[in-house]
Amino acid sequence: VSSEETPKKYQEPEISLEIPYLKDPELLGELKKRIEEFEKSGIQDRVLKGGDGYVPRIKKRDYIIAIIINLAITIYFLIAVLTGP
Amino acid sequence: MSEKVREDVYFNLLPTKFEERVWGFWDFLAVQICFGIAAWFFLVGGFTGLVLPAKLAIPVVIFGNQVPLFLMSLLSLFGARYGIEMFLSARPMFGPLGADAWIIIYITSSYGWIAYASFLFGEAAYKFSKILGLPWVISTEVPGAIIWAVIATFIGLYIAYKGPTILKWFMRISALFLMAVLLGLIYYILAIYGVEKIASLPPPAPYMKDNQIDWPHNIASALEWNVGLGFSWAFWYGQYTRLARSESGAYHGTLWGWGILAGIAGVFSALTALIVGSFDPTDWIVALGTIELALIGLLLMAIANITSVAALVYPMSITLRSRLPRVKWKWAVLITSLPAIILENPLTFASYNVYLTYIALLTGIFAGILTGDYLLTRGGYYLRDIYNYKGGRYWYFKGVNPAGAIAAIVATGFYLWTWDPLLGVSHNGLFDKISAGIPTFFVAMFLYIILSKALKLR
Repeated sequence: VSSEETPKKYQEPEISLEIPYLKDPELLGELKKRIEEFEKSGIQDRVLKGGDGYVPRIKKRDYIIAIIINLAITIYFLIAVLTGP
Repeated sequence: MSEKVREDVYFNLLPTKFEERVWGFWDFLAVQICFGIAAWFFLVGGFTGLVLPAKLAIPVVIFGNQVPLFLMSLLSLFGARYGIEMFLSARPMFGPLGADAWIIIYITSSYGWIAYASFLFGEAAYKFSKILGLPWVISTEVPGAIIWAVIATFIGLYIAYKGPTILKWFMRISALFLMAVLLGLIYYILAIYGVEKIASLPPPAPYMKDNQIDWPHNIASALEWNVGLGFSWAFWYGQYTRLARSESGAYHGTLWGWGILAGIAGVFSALTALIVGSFDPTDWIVALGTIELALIGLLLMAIANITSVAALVYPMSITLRSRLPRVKWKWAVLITSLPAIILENPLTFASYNVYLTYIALLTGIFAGILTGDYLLTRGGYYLRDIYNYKGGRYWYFKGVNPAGAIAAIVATGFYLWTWDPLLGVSHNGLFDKISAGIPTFFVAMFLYIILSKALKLR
């Protein structure tokens, strides 16, 4: 039997994580695995430098659309209040 | 990955990876429209229509709900970027113990939302039962509306129990129905009464001062109720946006779905309040007197409010399990929904405007501090330390971020100084000029930024 065919025993990643309320070893193991993946795949460094997280990052045009529409709503509100009932 | 762990991605504390994200922009929009169109918008619109004419009520409803959502729109990005729910996202700003305190505030204050959604359905259902001549036990406000409200709570919690995939399909269908019926009813109101007549109707129950309508106070009060609802979404982002396939989808889906699109329900009920003189939109449905319209109204209230109960219970349960992972999903759903039944009564129902001002206070502060931190960090956090309950870089001083705690306390003081919801007075006299919720958001945000820099925490 080659080593590739031997079922691999699950190994918990060696990262420090103190979560006293999380007692389930399988869930804790999966959480550690995901955090390690997040760090080793470069996502952690990327988000600290303003890049994508798990999903594509928001773009400037998204903010611009939001600003324009909300500005229009604010002007509408101000006109209504300033001209009175 | 075992079945248990796979399941826990959608029902517990694990960060959701890209391939596990199930919701795109349209799903978000549908879910947030369904979540938004419910008792909270119908009632806030109703209260607004009691104190303001249509010319002011419509812009106040739209501005009061949309602009707070815009101010805190960065909150939608935490969940999408890191795959985590809202109160894990709040740990860098408040520390793990501070964030736990917010979880308690979130869950206990949210029983009110479930109660309002369920009870508004109860109001519609008992009135419809009365039209049909059904037995008194279900066709009177007490106990009829309460019984119907409890039924709505149970149906809503069952949908939430089934999880996000069922929720998504249920919401996609319901959102289209809700938008169509609401637009249809607004058209019907305008056609029957005429734009000019509605525009000329005076508000039926405005605040008075020296026998004159106190316009500044009416505008500030109505604005505050709407701002309270606008900011209230601050607690609800992450539980949904952790399922988003892009930050852009999470951002726009929540911004417009909870804002201007769901706000149509508020505009509708503001107009009905002006016509009928009651904050409860179900009174208008009955006043029309036809069985067909009453049935459409009942369906609207049923779908709008029951889907919203489900949309409340699901994220509340996610948050509860993220902190108490040993609690089974079934129990989490029951714990986060059943206590609301105590509040499902006419007295709580009529106090909605007071409830909204307290919500404006709590969520405005929460949103201001999280927004302040995002501006400082550009949303860059250490995932490991977000989860690290003790000893990580977000542990700060005995588990509490002093900048977040001080900013929250001072902003609370500022809000209560400007507007005391219990006494209904402004101690500094500023309420009628600036209202309270939006200024409090800025006080919390700027104070947090200054303190974080001064204490060298960022």
